[in-house]
Amino acid sequence: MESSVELQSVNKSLGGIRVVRDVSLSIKRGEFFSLLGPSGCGKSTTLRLVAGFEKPDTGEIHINGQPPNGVPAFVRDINLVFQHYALFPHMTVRQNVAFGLEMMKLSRTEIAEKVARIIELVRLGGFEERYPRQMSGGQQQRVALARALVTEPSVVLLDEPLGALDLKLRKEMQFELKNLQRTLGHTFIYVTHDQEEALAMSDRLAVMHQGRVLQVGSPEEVYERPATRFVAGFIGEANLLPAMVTECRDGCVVADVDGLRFHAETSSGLELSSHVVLGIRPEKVRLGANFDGSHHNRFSGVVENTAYFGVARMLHVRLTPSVLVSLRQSNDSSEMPCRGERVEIGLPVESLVVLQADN
Amino acid sequence: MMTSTRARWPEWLLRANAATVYAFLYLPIALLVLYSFSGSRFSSVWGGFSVEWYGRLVQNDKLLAALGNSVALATTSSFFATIVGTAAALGISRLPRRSRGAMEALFYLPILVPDIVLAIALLAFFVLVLHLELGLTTMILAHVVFNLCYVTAIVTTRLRGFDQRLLEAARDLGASPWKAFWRVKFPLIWPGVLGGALLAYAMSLDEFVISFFVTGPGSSTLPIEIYSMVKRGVTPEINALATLMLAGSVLLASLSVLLQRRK
Amino acid sequence: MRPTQAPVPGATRSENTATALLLGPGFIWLLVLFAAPIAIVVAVSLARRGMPVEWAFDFSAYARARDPIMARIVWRSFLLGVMSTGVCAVVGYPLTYFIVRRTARVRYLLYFLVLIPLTANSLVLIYAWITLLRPTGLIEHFIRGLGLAGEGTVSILYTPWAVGIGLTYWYLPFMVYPLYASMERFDFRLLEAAADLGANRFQSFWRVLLPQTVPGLATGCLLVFVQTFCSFVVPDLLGGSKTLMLGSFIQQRFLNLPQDWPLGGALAMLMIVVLGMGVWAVGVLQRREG
Repeated sequence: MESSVELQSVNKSLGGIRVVRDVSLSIKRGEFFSLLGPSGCGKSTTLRLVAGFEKPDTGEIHINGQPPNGVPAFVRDINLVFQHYALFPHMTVRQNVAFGLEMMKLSRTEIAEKVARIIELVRLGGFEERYPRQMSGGQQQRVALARALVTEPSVVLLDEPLGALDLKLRKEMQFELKNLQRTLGHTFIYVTHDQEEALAMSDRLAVMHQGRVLQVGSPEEVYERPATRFVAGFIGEANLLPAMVTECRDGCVVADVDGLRFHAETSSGLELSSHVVLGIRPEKVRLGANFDGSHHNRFSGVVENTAYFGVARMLHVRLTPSVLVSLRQSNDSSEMPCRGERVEIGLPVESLVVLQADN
Repeated sequence: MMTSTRARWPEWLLRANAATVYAFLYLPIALLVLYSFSGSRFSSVWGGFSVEWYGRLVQNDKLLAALGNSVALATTSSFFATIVGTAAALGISRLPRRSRGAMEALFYLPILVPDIVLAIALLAFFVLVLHLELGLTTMILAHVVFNLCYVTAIVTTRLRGFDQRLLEAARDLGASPWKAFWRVKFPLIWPGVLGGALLAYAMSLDEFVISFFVTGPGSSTLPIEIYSMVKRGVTPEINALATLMLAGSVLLASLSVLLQRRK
Repeated sequence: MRPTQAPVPGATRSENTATALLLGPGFIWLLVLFAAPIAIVVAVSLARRGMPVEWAFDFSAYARARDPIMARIVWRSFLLGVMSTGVCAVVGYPLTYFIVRRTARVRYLLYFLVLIPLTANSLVLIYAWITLLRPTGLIEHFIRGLGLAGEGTVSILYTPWAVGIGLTYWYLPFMVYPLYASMERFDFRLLEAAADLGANRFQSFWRVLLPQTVPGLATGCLLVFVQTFCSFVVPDLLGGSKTLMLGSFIQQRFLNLPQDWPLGGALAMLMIVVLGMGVWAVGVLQRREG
């Protein structure tokens, strides 16, 4: 399958700062692809580079196989949904949506038809003659979406479109957007700093930090096997334990964490006595003396803190004066240990990830 | 904004001050209007309601000619000033920040400089350098100078409130730079443009000093005529003329403000 | 799907051309009809008296400008300027404060009412003052009525007082305009905070409100002073030949006989210098207040 959007070693500086560093991405046609990262990581700039509002300093961006360098934004077959919608305040909803079609010089009847259809699709029927200022944030967002989709671009770019909405509305829109994308089949490139959102909606995502792409993969890949310490910490919660490698043989690693011996698996060769970080998700940590799997990575500790979240429970277990492990338990009928109680926990080898000590 | 219960100054003092100022400002205006309808020649005696002075105005050929000149001058100069000034404001908004400040300052200078300095400068320039005949043409050239600065100032303010992303959105949807300007940017700034034009028009009608210096025979404007009339002696027609001009200026100014406030 | 068009070469260069084309006409107009004329004034001030000017290097205009009569005129203009500015500031500041504290609709109306005399035909308003201040004018009747007048007619017209009143009247909006902009931005909750911390009314004003509104006040004072110092019409109509000010003097040297363009030019240079100093002073003040 030919890739829809391809970035090759793209670099961009703004105001003297390297905002996008050596970014290479290959986004497949019809994919829902997210760029995820904290503010200032370069994801919005990357999006604007794809849209054509900025030109890369070095590197190339190919859209549908054609290098569009030098081709300005209004010629590319891409539409951008702006973060604050950028709806034309002096035009009605209908006029806003029809704008792109008018630029394509379609006939009046064709325009009216397409506009009606897309307004139906985003469930804004009845609002055609309203002005943006007369509508709520969620409605404005849907107008912006309709305006971008109606010209049937091959790639749709979305720059944190749900940022201005409240939580409940945001969750609804996430669902709607995903459905829309699946129905229409366009390639969506979605920028967000909300990792839950990215995980829920994307087919694949790229985690960015300080201008670089740290990891690209499906939500499962990125969550279960984060590539760097930053990715592990940014997405979901993670226990991050600094360790020193004591043995490394055939993909099996033994590392020392403050006197405790941990067994883990890794595909990369590690030097003895090198520093690494062991990562494990709190929900993967097992409680209790008996569980399947190897006898490795079982430790005894004291429950220092507990928290009750309704849907889950968190335990913080101290193994040594400098090692605290967080454990997440679903709220089943089993009893929760209380503070001060001594418990046994196990960290399954297959759930333990070995990460570089520095980012 | 509510007045806090612990007012900064005694409230009555502020009110008294404000009342006095407004009375001070509007007393002369009220008198003018009042006596324009008075039948008496003497401005301190009320002579019964009469529109005699308005009638006399209409028959005063000199004044009518001056009115014609004023209108022609105001129309022509505000027309050119609006086009050049709006373009300049658009140009300035595209400049990088450093040069923008300097350019904005340049366009403020003609308004800041005292009118008499500008008047003698233009007179000297027209007479000594360009060797032009003083008349309507020189007045138009002079009026455009300060009028275009007013327009630039107003349009620049309007442009500051303009969201650049709207242009990006239009370009993104396939509009050429020209189309994006006419379909998106201009509709949102035209109230400012029109407001500036109206202000320039009102300023031109009212302008005296510069016109006085660069006028020639036969191109007297209304303010110049009033000046001569006042210097010669007090005549009641001036009341009527003043009232009419006041009404006109207020109308224009109100329109200009309303337009500028329009979203 | 949209058909792809050929790439547009040199997009940034065409953008620069557009900027130049937009800015060009205005810039050139100001260059030719503002900067050049001002330069001519400088040149004229350094030329010799003639019909009207002989182009020969001559510094005598500046010597003539040092004449004691000139000094008196300049001093009078300066005094009247300072006094008018003072009155405008003392009266205008509380007025602006009053306006700004009203609710939105009332505020706009009151502000507009202050600006109307500015936009309305100003000559006409001076004429109104002439009728008021004349020997048989209303003010005189008023003073007589109060029994304050003695023998003979009371004529305020053509005295410095008349000019002062006229100047204050005409230029008060110039004080209110920048002050209003400055006060509108002021967060009045700061005054409440000051009161909460124990400041009395005067202290809150002096130490909280005033410092924050200095930029607006400074700009207002600059505008009023420069305009009153250089005023021509008001002193000409209300002051006559008894109260001659700089502006009228320059006008006479240019348009009446005996002509002395170089002297007029030299005095205009004085005005420009005063303006420059004022702008610089305001700039310093504004930078200090951040």
